[in-house]
Amino acid sequence: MKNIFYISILFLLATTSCQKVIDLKVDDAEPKMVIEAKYDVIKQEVFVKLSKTISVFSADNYPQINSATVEITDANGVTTLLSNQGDGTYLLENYVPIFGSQYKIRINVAGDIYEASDDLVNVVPLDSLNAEFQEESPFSEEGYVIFMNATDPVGPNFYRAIRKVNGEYKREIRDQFLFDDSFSEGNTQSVPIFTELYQVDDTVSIELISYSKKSYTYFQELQDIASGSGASAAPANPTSNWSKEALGHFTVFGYDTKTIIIKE
Amino acid sequence: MKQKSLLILAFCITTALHSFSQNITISGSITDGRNGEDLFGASVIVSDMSNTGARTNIYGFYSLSIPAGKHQLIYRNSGFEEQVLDLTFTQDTLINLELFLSKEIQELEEVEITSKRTNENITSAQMEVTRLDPQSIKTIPILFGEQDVMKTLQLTPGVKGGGEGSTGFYVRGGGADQNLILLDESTVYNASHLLGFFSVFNSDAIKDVSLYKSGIPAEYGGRASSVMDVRMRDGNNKNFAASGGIGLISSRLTLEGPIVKDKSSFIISGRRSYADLFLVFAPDEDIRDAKLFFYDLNAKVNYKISDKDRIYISGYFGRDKFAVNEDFGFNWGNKTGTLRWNHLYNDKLFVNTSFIYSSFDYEFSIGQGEDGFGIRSSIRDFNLKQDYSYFLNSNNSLKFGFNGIHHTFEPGVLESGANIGFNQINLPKRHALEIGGYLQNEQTVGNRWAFMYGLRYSGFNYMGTGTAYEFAENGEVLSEKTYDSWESIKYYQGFEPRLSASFIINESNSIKAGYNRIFQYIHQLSNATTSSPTDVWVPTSNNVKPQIGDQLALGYYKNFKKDEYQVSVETYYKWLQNQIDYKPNANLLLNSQIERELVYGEGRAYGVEFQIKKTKGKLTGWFNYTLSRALRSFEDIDGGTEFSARQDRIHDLNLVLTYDINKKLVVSTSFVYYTGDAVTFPSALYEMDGYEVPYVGKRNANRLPDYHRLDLGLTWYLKERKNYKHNLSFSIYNVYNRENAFSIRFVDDFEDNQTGQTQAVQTALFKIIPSITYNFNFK
Repeated sequence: MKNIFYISILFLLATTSCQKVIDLKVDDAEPKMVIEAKYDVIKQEVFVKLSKTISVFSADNYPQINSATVEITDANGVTTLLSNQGDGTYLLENYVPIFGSQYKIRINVAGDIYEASDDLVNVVPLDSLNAEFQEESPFSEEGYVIFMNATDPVGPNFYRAIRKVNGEYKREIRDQFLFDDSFSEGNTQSVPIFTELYQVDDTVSIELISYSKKSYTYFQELQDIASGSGASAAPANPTSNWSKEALGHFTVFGYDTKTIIIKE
Repeated sequence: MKQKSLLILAFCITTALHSFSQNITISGSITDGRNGEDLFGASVIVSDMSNTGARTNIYGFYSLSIPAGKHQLIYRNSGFEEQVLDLTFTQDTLINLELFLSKEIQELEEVEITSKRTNENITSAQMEVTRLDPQSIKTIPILFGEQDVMKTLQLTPGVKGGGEGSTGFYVRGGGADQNLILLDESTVYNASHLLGFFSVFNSDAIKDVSLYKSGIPAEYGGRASSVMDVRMRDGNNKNFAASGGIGLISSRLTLEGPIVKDKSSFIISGRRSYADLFLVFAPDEDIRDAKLFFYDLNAKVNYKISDKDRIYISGYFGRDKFAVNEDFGFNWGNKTGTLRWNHLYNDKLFVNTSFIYSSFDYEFSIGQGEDGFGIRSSIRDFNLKQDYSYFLNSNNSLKFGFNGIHHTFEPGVLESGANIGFNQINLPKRHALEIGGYLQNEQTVGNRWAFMYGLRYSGFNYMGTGTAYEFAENGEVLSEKTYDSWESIKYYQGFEPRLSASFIINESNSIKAGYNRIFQYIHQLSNATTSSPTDVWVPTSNNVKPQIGDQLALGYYKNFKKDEYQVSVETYYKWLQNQIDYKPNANLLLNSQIERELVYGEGRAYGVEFQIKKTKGKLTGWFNYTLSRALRSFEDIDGGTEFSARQDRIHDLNLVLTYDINKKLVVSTSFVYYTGDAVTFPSALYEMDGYEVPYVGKRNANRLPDYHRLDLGLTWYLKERKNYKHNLSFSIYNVYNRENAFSIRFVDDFEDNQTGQTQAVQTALFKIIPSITYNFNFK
């Protein structure tokens, strides 16, 4: 909501302000370990990617770390090893989930141990999608808005909607749509996705992810920082759940998918 | 002025109580003969008794004790013709006197009038107070041609603007919320209009602005760094008058006049901006329909019931509106009201009683009716205040008083249409009572020493109705307890010593020192790095401690060439306790437990300010340079390492010059240079979830590029007609078209960047901006 103020400021200044690339000296930090780990319980796939930070104006690629051993442990204490793909990523397929339980990941990079855990919450079903025509407005052209209809279970719930439009995933930072139930606790709700408007014959699929609070918070903080909004009261790195101050996150999540074809 | 030759003093002598003592008291008021406005800071000097005299208070009242007998009294106010009275006094005497403009000034009426005695900077005990009279800044060039006392204050030493697009300001390294901004004694919570491009102070309605930044008198309290005391004009009690201006993006009109001649007058002054009218040229139809404007209204009436009683009622109302269609609206504004009663118990004891209302609120709405929702938030104060001035004798003048403010905070309400599916959210209101009491004496000792010493007691009762939470280290709620209406949740109190001393080396040299401690009980939480209307005010509570500011300052002042040049060097050291910052990624909106998002730390600031001022002649103006630091440390930020506050501008330089070419033309210029703000930049990049993500480095370890800018102004006085005066004022903002950084983004997709490498992209708000305003004055 704070962005509304910035929308207004930008609106006012659209005609007078100007932008240019400048030379700037930046205080460089030491390279840090970066770990992206996720267990997609619908695909039954565990994926881990290891790399390091690079300096801000660097032209280099992100370094790959291929020398690690990566293992996942479920709530029963059963540990399974991920296979090294040789490009800095590690993979485990056909890994069957236990809902309402905790998973742990342990990574060994040349004797340094990194650990993190996340809870697998139940997936909130997406009841249906519907589309509503919207006239042209100052913020957009005319088109159809998609509404997600779901019943929010009692207790805190954390969501993320991922869209696939005509077979293509929308992966821009502005496409990120995270929301919780703090405004709608326990209600049947109809949540509009205003990010994009659709036209007749578009096929739109929504994957409604149910996150643990920890994962939700991480992705929200990640979105804040990655969208580069200098507007934050306290710009900060997302809260990592890795030990040893590695950057990144381990998330375990499921989702429900619905598809709609826009009709007149 | 038509009555140039009639330098007549309205002069009345009334018989007061018969006095048996040797000493008699002379008291009364000093007013501006043109319009009956009270003169604040005008002086009465007993020429046959060295170093005996008095100055008028803010209501134009003075009182003086001298031995009975024959004396010569000189009434003096800079820019006005001096009045000399030779009288034999046998009893207490009331002298109400009007001063008229001096001949030289009358001919060139629009030039600078400072209402200071020319060497008052040397002789008063008070540390340097920055005083501005809107008249005196008329010709200083300013953005969009609208003169603005707040923008001009930012050109004086120790005062730093919040950056382009902000009227927030920083005084001597303090935070933007540490300035007490008063309009006719009423707190102004948000002093900006139009997203920060204008201040809420309409210069046409303002009599006087005083900015206290050290040795702050005990009558003021509640903000840790400074006091900006703005007083509205009372209105002309001699003639009806109209004045105004028509500018490119705003216009203004003031009407004033007597209701009962010499007894009662009114002033009403309004402004309206119409920047949005330019939107009709926009290509997009919806943007053409958008609204973006502010308006404000100042009004005041006063009535002299008798020589001993006078009543004032004044108010301010202002609103900013931004709307696109009916789908999106955002508006905010202040309301203030002050009811005052001046009463003279006797010729030595003056009392003012005020009842004051103040509020600020903002509101935004998205969609309408069943399909819309709106969020609003507000703060509201009622304040009862009584201030006494007791003119004990010619060497001591006492001030004492008390006040109590009842605060109501409404942190946020969300109201939602039925189709949206949001629950109504109504964050509970929070209540507090802030009280203060003080005693202060201004004393001269011999010919060389002047002291001002006082003590203020302040207390803050955070109270019900409400729920108080206790939080664990990680932000979890440990316990909560509900309280009834007026039931105390937590009480804080403190004593605040205030001290100023001056040693007059001779007529043109002095040294002054000041110390003050101030408790601040309400705090502003800012959603953004610049000041915005959605900033939240929160009270001190069981979790939030009061901020405490201590400052020690020392200054040397020297005047040259009969006070034509004034040179000063001031140095200060400031300690700030219980400063507030945010936990990483704090969410301030509609957060019922906002306090768990906060972290607490300390700050310090120090610096030295050099200034040279030329006060007389065709060329006037000032130059100042400040070398200073503003530092903070928080246990929870970078492990407690001390870091630069955003406003830690190490070098800060201002030059303001005004030159009267002839009676018709005045040119002016101002130049500003300062070290870029301390900001937090990314210090590395990494990849996560398919995005390139910046790694945030140490807090405020980087700098924006240095800021500098030159402005020019020209005021052309057009041919006067009977009762009608007018001028055209031209200004050019940012003459050499410097693109000063408003923000810097790190992106890899700016324009035709093919490399995929990250670049630093700077946004500047204003390039060169010329403007023209037509001003008129009608009597």
